[in-house]
Amino acid sequence: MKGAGIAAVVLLVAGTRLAAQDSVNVIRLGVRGAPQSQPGLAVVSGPGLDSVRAIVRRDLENSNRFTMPPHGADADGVMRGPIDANAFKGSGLTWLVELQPAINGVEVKLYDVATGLIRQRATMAADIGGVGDSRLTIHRVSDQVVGWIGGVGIAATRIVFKEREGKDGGIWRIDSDGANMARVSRGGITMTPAWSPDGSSVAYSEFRDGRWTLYLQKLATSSRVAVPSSAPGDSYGAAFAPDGKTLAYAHGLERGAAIESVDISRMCCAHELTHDKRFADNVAPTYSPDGRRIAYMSTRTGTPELYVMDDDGTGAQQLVSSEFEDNGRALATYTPAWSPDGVRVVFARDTRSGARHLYSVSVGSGQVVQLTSSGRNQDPSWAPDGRHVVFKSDRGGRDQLWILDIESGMLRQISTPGSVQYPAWSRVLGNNP
Amino acid sequence: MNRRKLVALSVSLTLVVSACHKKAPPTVAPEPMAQPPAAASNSAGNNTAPPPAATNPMGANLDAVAAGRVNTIADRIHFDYNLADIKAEDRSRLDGKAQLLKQFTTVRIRITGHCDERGSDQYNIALGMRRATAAKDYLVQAGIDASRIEVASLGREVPIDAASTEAAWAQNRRDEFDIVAGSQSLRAP
Repeated sequence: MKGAGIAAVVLLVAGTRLAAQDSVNVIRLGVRGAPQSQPGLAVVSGPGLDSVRAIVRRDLENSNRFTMPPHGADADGVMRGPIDANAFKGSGLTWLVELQPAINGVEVKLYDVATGLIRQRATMAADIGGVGDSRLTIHRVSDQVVGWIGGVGIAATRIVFKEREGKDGGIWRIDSDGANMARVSRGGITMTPAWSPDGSSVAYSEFRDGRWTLYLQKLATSSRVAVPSSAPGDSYGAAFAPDGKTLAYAHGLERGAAIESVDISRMCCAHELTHDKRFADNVAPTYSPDGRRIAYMSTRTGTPELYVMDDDGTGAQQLVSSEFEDNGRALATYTPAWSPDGVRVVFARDTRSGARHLYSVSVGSGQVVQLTSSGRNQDPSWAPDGRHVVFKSDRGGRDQLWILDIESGMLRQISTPGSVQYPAWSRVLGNNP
Repeated sequence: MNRRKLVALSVSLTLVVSACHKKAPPTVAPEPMAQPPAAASNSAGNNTAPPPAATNPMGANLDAVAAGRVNTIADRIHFDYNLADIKAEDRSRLDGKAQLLKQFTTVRIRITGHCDERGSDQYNIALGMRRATAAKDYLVQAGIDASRIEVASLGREVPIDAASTEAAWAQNRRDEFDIVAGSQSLRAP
């Protein structure tokens, strides 16, 4: 970190960014116009914080907001003695994050490298062991740094999904950085988990006695209750309304599947929102962030297509204009996910060549942008920062979780032992996960 | 699953009803609990292992007859991609089931629709229900009381073959038929 090593940092910083882009084969379609450059940021720490530093560094890398020096560079590591931010001037870095041990936690400092001055500092409770569920306390340090710089951090979040083990499959959760995978459901055949807005519960469906039953499970205790529906049938694909008091879900009967909603604060009053004739299937609801509208998939015209309606089921209209195969059939469109800022809906659509890709539609203009370009991709779910989307893709050979940053086009994989379905991203998780 | 196995066991000591979706077509085995899924035969109706009460020739014969009836009811039907139309070649299979259901009026069945992995996973639950309902409608048209037929859908969640090949997909797009009540009556002469 003395003057001699700084020029090397600059070169390596540029190098790592290009390599990351090459390795993921993503096309940068620029939903919002991909930034041409990201500010440089490095994370250094005092002794004894190796695990904390490694987690924070990876979190900030995963935020796709910064260009970071390569592992082992002078501006990347555990430092002995006091850290002099002035030594990083001219290194190409905009920000320097310093972590030092504190009682029951970590002292965090954010330096503006151009001036060498501390811009923000805080002492945060953290379990510096960096293992298990207490990793969340370290992820909060990462999110604090992103917050200081003016963004929404998503490190202290988790993703729930179905992990297929042979022919069975349970619901699991995993930290945003791909660590700490843990089982949620007890077993059996399950599908479509969804996070409650407060992060305390997960709703999912389980096949029992010939029906898909919707369960609401508290994560802290693993206790669960069956959610009532309007009539015996299959309940699956649940979505929480933003206030956490209502669930919308697909309710399947012999005459077809309708979107229903149920009041889970009183566990009552389940009723159908869509009223189609026999054999129209309506599934995969997603709420707008103001809770007033629901986007969903319907086969009412014959092919799966996306619609939007008011939360009471009125005012249904098509959300995405159809694309057609050469034979005149509309290309099937699936699994909408409404963005946290309400501006767009990400969805999956079959292509003429037999692939399936993610697209984004602007709710206001109807303009559609393609987001993925390889593999079969579906089941998108938004991170709370409104720029990252997790989805299922077989681009690596089997169905795995992939995370796309729609602003930078950067892509990363979350690896699990089996194959996955139905990822769902939590909100930022509070102090009692 | 386990519960459904127990139901099947409770109605018959000697017959194995294909109560588990993971298994190949149902067969007769001497000891239901001892039959591992991998041991199940793919040739429905041909694998008539000796019944446990082999000292009674008449009983053994009845077991074989009953096993044939169970296999007729449980014989799967298959579907084209993204469709829920009954194929012409499966009509005779459904006719055979209808005939037995008319003859043995206490038998109740559950039809479970399945899909391959290619459709949208959530939509596959709806598509599987359509496939189950298509078979139910056929049987009701053939004169079977609708109240004797339950329908269910497992979508793509429980494939027979987890491979991503045309052959696996073709196997996985299916209806399975489980006897949920009255299988004892199928042992009648």
